[in-house]
Amino acid sequence: MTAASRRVDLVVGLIGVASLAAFLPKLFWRESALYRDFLTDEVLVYAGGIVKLVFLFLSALFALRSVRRLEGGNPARRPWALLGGGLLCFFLGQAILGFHVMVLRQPSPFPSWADAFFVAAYPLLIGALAEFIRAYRAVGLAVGTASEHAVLGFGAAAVLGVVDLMLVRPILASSAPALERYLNAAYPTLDFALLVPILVLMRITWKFQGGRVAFVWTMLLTGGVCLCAGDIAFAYFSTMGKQGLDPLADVLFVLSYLFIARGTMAQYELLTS
Amino acid sequence: MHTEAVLETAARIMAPYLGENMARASVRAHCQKLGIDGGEVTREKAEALLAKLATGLSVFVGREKGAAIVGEIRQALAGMGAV
Repeated sequence: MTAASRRVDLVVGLIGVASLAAFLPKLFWRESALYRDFLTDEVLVYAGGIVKLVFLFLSALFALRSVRRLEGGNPARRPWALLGGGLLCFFLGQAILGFHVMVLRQPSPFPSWADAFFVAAYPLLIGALAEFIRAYRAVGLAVGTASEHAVLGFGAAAVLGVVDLMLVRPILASSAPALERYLNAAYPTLDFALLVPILVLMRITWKFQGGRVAFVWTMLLTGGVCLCAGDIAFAYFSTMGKQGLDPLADVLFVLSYLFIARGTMAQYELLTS
Repeated sequence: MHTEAVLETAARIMAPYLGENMARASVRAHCQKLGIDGGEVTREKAEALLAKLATGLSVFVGREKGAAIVGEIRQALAGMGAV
């Protein structure tokens, strides 16, 4: 590991710890002087918004830079392009929300054009992860067979599908406007769908432990899990009127983008160092 | 050169990237597919193995760097009189 990548780890780690320290206590001490006078809603919205935008931009940038470094015909090129496209969609969606909240000083709009970008990101991300699995199998690495991955994928889809139904039912039955309800139901469903290839890739990544490839994928997959958890939490809390739990969703999103950005940077380092 | 020595050498050089277990398992899997199943490894089979390893590495590190890592393996094997 180079000195530069250790510095990046330090910066990302410090921002992660600072985010946890800023958001999580709000779950328990929302009315405390700390959150009333210092870490006000406005401060947290700006700080969280800027961190999210910067790290989503870095995630997309380094994924797309990796695409440029991989030569034509490399089976990993297409999945990195899809992943970069998905992260770029997330960045654009977040930028729209950031513009409303930080520039226009309005509450975060929902639904909005940002949702079009967020929803469009999922097929790209799911496609990217599925293509990574196929590419790693195709080059003869001992990552497991197609049937092993299919069994794990279908098993995970069945279990997560049941959990999704249980979660989505009260969301769809809520009194929120139709588009809001459908989007709040769509996000967790898409997240559960994203979790299926994530679980298969976790199994694959386990076999790489000790190598630099494992670091890249541990970061990307941890970020993916945090993203899914944040989305599911946000959809559930907002529909069920439990806005007091929003800091949990906020910190999960921030951690997600930090992990994903570190993963795409590590992949670029792997290609260039 | 004996199969186990080739396997150990290739796995040791790939381990920083793929991890020790994956490096070893991948070399072993390629050896089996190429019919390198114990005993002495011919020059041709060693070259075929290196080509497969380069393809496997390229999905993570790119073709150029994959070729460089395989070049390192080739050099180590040459030093042992295998290729």
